[in-house]
Amino acid sequence: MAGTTETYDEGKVVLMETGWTSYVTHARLWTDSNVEVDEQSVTFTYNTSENRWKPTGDIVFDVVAGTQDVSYVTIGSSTVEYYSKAFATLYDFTTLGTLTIDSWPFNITGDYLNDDGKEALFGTGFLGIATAKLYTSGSAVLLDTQSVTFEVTNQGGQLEPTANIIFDVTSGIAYSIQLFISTTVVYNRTLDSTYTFTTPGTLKVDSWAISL
Amino acid sequence: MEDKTKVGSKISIKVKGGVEKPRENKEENKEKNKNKAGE
Repeated sequence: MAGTTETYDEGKVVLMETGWTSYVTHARLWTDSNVEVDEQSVTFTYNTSENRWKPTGDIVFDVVAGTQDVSYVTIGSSTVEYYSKAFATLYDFTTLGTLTIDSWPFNITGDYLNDDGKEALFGTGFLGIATAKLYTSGSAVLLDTQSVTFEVTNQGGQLEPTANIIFDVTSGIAYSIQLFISTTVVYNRTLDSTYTFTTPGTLKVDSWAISL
Repeated sequence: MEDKTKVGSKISIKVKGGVEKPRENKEENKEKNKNKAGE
């Protein structure tokens, strides 16, 4: 894993499929030539007031004397690295020392993403999205509910529905769609146009790509 | 419909016993070496 850039392709896919919270248990410190310096157990939790996922405490790495070019840190399981973050500079240790990460928040951002939904995404991943609901303006009237499943369609991290989402509408003006994990709204998306149903009909969503 | 969702992180560290050293800019050095070779 390169030490000079932030990489998270593996992490993106794990996040999308299953969430990170139960998968990230270890942090490791590396030199620029990819030699492991130290490993520490870590616990990340979702901070609901900050809407960010972060370590429960400082991560303190021990560094032995003579270690040169300390370069980056990774997080992952006991055997797999999911995410790497490089420091702005390298560090040389001529004596015994420590490198402490005192802040490392993660965030998911998106135009239609709900703050409460982020916690569910870090916890259970995008594959937990199971329900789509069609609403009128202001979510005043629920027009229809459909079960949905999403799948990761490439290793770069793109998510798409496994089938068209087809809403049955008796009557009303379709305005927005919400995606749910269990009872939590993850996405709240306004349709490009409103659609007025004076007689029963269907509204089909044939494409919804979520990319990281 | 496509949504560009992003995941990002910011890190803050404290170092005891270590000395900062600038990262070597490999691309810049490559360019310098190329220029030297062309002299």
